[in-house]
Amino acid sequence: MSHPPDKKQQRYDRQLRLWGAHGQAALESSHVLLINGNATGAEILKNLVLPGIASFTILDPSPVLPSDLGSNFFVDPEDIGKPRAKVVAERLREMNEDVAGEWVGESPSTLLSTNPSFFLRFHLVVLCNHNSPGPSSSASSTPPVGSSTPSPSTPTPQSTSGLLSEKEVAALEDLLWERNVPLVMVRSYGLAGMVRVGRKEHRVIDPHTPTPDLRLQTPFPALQALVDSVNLDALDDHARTGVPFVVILCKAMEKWKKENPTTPPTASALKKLVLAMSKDLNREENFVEASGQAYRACGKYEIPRTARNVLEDPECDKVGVVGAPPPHPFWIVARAVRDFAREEGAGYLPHPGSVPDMKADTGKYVELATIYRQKHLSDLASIRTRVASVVSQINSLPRSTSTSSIDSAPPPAVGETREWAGSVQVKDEEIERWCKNASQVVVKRYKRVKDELGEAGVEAGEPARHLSQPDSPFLHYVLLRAVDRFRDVHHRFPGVLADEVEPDIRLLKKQVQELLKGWGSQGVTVPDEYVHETVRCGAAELHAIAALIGGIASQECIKLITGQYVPVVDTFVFDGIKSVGGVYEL
Amino acid sequence: METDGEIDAPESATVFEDIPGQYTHIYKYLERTGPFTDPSFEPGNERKEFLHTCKVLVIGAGGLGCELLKDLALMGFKDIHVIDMDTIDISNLNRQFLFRPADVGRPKATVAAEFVMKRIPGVKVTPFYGRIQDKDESYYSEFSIIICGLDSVEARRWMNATVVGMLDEEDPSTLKPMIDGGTEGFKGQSRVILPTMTACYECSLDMHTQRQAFPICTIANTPRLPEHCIEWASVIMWPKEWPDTKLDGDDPEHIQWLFNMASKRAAEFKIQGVTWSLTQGVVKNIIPAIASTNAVVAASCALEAFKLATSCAPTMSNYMMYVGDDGIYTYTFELQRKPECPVCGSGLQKVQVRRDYTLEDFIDTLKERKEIQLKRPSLMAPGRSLYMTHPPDLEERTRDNLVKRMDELVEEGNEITVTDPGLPITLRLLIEWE
Repeated sequence: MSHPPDKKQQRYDRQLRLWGAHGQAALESSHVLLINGNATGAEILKNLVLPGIASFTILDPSPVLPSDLGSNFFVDPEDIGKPRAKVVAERLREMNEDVAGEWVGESPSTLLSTNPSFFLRFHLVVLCNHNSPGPSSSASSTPPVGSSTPSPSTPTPQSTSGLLSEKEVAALEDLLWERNVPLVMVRSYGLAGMVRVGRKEHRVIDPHTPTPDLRLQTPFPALQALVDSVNLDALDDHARTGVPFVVILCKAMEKWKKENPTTPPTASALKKLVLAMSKDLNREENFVEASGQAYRACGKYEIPRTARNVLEDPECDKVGVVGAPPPHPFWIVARAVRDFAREEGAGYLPHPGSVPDMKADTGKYVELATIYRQKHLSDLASIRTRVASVVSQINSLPRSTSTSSIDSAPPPAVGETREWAGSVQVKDEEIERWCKNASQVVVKRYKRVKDELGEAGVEAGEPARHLSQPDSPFLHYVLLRAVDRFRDVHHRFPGVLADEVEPDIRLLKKQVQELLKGWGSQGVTVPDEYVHETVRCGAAELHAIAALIGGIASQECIKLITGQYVPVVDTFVFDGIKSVGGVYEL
Repeated sequence: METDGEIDAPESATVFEDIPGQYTHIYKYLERTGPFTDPSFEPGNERKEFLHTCKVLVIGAGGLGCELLKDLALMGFKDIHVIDMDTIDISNLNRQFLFRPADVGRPKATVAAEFVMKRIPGVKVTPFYGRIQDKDESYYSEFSIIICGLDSVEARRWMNATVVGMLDEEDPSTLKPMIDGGTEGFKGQSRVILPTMTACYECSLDMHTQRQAFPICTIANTPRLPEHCIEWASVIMWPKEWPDTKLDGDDPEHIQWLFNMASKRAAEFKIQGVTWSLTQGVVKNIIPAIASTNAVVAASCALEAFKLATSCAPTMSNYMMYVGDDGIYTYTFELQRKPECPVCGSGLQKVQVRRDYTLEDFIDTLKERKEIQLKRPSLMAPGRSLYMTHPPDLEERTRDNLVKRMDELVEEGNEITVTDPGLPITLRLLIEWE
């Protein structure tokens, strides 16, 4: 900290300022699987290799085609005909020598049925179910060169061999779901694209959404003592300008209570009182600041809703229960924090230890900051004790007879402490992070794709609601789903052949109608021009869309791997025709 | 809207592809029309030829610039130029993917151009290692589209004023679309500027929050944060101790000295948290930057460039923001022109002034205004200089005016002309007494 950064810190400086050493360590221990090294997939890995994940594996049976040269940056002309997985993996690795990269030239579909455990070796799986645009009119006579494809069925430009069917996607998700491995599904199709995140349970200790915790409603003893030590009336004019607004607001509250013992103040009444307490508002900027913050002292303190949901989660109740599976450390700390808030915190969470800057003289500010800091440390000590006692209680419970399925999970990344390794352990670092961010913690639970694919999972009104808005990006989600059904039926994508645009528009429209009917979305339609536009693109993968969607997907991957910031729930759709995006919970 | 799916007959030969089939993906859009294309859109070779031969300029070969060069080249642009005045630093390598450790110290524009040309067949990238101000209208007017991947408000203002200034309303070929991207951490934005048709960069200057500056009295007298101690070391102590040496945020010895000074001050005031990394961050005003956000914003800019060059789909109208730290949030909206914009509008703004303000007070209020953002303004009243920051002898002759009252210097209804050495803009202010 007191020396210039080393080479690695310098290299990663601009990102360490976002996710810190903790987030970086999580990235550096994560193994990522990419299914299909098309332009979109390669862009996603690019944005993960650069910040330094541990390793990636590309699973892709396709050879490099001439059309890849115009969409995928990680191939060049001499690679035509070579396995795309190999070529892309090698070129990606050139960007960061600390990242390992492997490739497997098999069909994901085959591998899923012959060796499903392959997919369980990773912390994150990215599925770029690719499109194949087929030959352009000008390239129709150019077959792929070379014969080094690992797959026995050499793909032709029309081949869809890297694809997973709807059923296979659901099977893959099931597999990952049980181990709580996130699956990120990404699609670039013509001018449209989508990113969908799926995970059984995603826990975020540090979403980077801090709010100040000042305890103005009920000052704790040390804070009260500081407030008592200040006598505003006895201070000279200069000293009055150095009193932090926290003290001013506590004084104002005391004054209010004395004058109105039964009615608590409204924010505007307290504001008025604070302004009246100032001798000279032009000089006493701290009083002006206090009046602006008056609302923080009013009303009853409540734990923020998302954090409260975490503490009230059934997983918290299960901690320490005989016969329950060993809890994740996150839930052990959550339980300790909940019990702390109920039993000794008078409803408050452990204090985060930080305090915002405010107009004050150095001495008083530092005194105040120290008081909060010490409150944090004493709360933290209490949580530590509680965690230790819960942990020893859990470890003394009779072991469940069946081995936890988590035993065969991939090696844990730093952000994802091993869920079960003989005895339960909670890292002290995790307890500290928890206590610093207790009011911000978030848990996100996702729906499975299969629940939606099974059609019953979609609430009938939802698609209709999204579609009732004109030009909603959700139109493209419906169309992408319809395109996949088209492919399953016709064994090609709509519009890939130059002379079949007209009939394909009709065939795709039919798929759209059936899809909407299956969802029970009567009375809504996808306007014809959107169907036409989807057929027009002929399953093209435009690099700009691949890079945009890939960039968004890689941000989601980083959030999922580091356990910092909040990933989307659950589907982002981009309409590149109008350059508008939308988020949908499906 | 036409929905009959009119499709051109296949083009007879591949005249534009270095490798047959290379442009399969983008040609889907150029060989077919669609319901959202501009009515003037005619699919076929003419579109392809224009896309492949038009000259486009990328400004900046950094985080956005590297992405832009790749994106534009893969979207079919083949005559790409790039300007950047910087050399490669190790801290660029976490996102500027065209650079390798061995390239550290070399000019960004040159290395980026070499890399893209090596990787993508048939693409020509022409680098210029220098400042945007080194080039004039004759240079900028050669391009069909200008795409900015810049990291400073000043450079964007300069570029915007230059591009808007080139417009001759009689000659449509002088209208140069400018596409601008920017990022910070998980957030970013892209926008399309069509001079006098859409809002220009200057029209919306007040949207950009200025870097929060710490009041000098806090730094000098009542430090509370580690940042205050660092500012004290760099703003107050450095010029005192090293009057002849310019502070260089990239020189580890300079940062070490500041860090030592700031640490001492922090210890004296019992302030925690001064670190080497924070010291450098404050001194250089480092903005966090990651590959993924740059990828998103640059791709959006390249997509709009492609749509502008080919008319295969409508151009974004006209601003998209992207926020990725809490879920995914995007918002696309139309920024409105400002009639009194000093760059693309009338330029004449009314300002209310207190009669008893001194000229210096008045200049301070101008500096504080977010929609103006001046640093060292010079002011002229009709027929006379009020205060000129340059040249030194004129500064000396006008300095006495700074303490004079406004009503001694000007009358209501006077027009004051304001210039700033950093900006190619003249502001015209119409004085009204408050």
